[in-house]
Amino acid sequence: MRYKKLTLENFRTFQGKHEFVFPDNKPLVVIHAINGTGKSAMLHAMNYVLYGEAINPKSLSGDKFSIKQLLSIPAYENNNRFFSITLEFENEGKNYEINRRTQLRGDVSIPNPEEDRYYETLLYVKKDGEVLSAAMSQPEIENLINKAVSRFFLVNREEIQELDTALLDERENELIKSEIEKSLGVEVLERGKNILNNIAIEFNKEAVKDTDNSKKAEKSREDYEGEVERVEKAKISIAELKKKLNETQEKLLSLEKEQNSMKSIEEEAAKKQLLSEQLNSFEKQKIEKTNSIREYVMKNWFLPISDIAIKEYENAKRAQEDAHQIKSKLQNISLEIKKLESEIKTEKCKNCNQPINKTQVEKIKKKLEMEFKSKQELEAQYIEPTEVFPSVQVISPYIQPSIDTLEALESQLASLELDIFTIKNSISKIDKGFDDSLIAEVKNLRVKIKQQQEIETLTKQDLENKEHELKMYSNRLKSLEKDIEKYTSDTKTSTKKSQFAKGIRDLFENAFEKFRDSAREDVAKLAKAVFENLINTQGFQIDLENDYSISLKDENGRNAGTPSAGQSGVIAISLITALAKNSVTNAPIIMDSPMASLDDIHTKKVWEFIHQIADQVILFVFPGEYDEKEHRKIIQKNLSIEYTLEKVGVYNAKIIQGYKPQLLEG
Amino acid sequence: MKKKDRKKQILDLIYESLEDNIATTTPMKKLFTKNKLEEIVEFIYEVFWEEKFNPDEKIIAKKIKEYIDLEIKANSK
Repeated sequence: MRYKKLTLENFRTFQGKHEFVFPDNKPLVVIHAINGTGKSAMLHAMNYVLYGEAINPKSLSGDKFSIKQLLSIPAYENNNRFFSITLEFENEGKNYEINRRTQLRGDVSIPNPEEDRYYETLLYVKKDGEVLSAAMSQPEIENLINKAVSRFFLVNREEIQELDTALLDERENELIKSEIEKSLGVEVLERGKNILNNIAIEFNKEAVKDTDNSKKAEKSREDYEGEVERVEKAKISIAELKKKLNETQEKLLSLEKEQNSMKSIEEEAAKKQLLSEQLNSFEKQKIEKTNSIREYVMKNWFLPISDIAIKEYENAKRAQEDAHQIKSKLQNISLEIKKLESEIKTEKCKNCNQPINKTQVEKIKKKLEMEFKSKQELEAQYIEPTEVFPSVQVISPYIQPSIDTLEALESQLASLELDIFTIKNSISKIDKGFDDSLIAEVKNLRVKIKQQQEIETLTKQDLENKEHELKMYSNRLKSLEKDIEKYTSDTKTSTKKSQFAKGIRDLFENAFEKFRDSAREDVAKLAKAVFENLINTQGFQIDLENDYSISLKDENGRNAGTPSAGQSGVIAISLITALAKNSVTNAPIIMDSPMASLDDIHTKKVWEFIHQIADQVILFVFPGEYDEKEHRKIIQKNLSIEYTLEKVGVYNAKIIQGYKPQLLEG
Repeated sequence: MKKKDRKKQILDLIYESLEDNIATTTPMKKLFTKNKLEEIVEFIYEVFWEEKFNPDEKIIAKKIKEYIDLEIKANSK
């Protein structure tokens, strides 16, 4: 991996846009700077662009810089409240561009937003020109230079001076050791064996579960035997039922033949049956018709005529009485007339036999006259009572229609009687053709056919049921066969998988043990060699313990006590070199002031050596670490590019290409 | 000073371990040929290597488990 360009905008001391370009011709990049120009800012920028955070090395508890601290002060004051870092690099033939931009959120309107919550950070990662999804961006970075191993590739000044001490601290050692092992790839195997162990456990569980499956297979086998028995029984039943069905059908065929031969008898019998039914129907109709005639006579003739006769009788009786009264009155009047005529004639009173005068005679004459008149009136009123009733005139309107209807009904009745007679004749003719025993035989035959048909239907149904049962048993048989195969095969497979996973796990475990020791030995050997190459005091050597802590030894292998600041620096460079060379991460190394605590001799040795520690090494050095006369000829051969950071005003810095000593005078 | 090819170094160590007499590896050696075992081991190792910085171990485990499952099933046929 090689960094190609780093662009900073409004980051720390770099107001506006500034960029470092790193040509890929030689390994060494040297950036000269005095304090306060942005040496450390470069490392913070690298940490920020890669991981979205920058740790403040001066904070004892490892606090991160706030966004306000990372934002250029003049940019902030000029209301340019954003900073952006872009890193372009190449790895294994692929070109990457990472841009992380932190800016004031659009919805923040307060005048001086200082807290991180007012800002948002956007990350874009391009791989060979293609923008990765948000979800893939950070993991891609972590896969290239994992944050856990970043301290060995982005090395700050404090790290160089304090790495050996930190390794002696129990808590820090644990962390650094884990980071070293991660960097060396030991963790690939360690993690791999742990994952394989979990897989082996899971497969083992499946195998245990499949022991149950083997029991299931046994049970399925038992069920299979039972099912085979049921299938056989069903097959026998089906054969028997088929035989029975054949027999029934044969019998039925023979009965039907017989029935055909007796068809004429059957037809005649059927005809007779039909005629008998017709006869019954006509006889019923005859009874109904007779009843309706009776009813009609009663309702339409007898009852109305009877009413009329009663009324006529009553009228005649009244007339007789009236006539009788009139007759009696007439007799009385006649007697009175006789009496009055005698009195006129005799001129004597009939009652008292005394003579009557002329006036009285005149009165009697007048009375006689009146009696005659009354007699005449009564005679006019008198009607001789009739002897015949009811009269023909009265009843004739009722008689005429009733007779017509009655005649019609009688005619229908006669027609019915004729039909009945005809049918009876036909039946009689049929009866002469055969006797009832033949009809009984036909009936018996019909019953037998019906019985056989019922047997046929039932047998067919039984056969269908049995065939359905057979199909069901056969399906179960197949399913059980599959179960047996599956359970048996699962048991074998899960056992194989469990054994296989255990084998692979132990393989990785074995390789892990070997590799952990061998990787540590590689690091120890190389660190020791680098240390011996860099250290000027003869006889001193370093020992790397199992936990990667380092101890300084004298020529007799005895502990040489606490290393000096210079020795600590050399130890750190040796260890970092050994780790970088053995690391699974192939990243450039950026170091801030690696020679800050070294004397001239060690500084010269480091300058001679430093380009070898990685494919690309970027060093930030202050004037005390670099002597143009001494070191130019040493670095020239491996130097790719040089920059000088120029301090501009109180807060700003500029990137100037080349070595510009006049800008480093402070 | 040449950088070591760690990836290959580790894989070689795993191959080397295949030669070691580890009791639990006997059943798998009976199941597969040496070449096939090396192929399987290489695949598994490749997954671990590629995912070395992936914090989600479950995804890695799933991938390996499915692979072993397939290989064993293929072997059982």
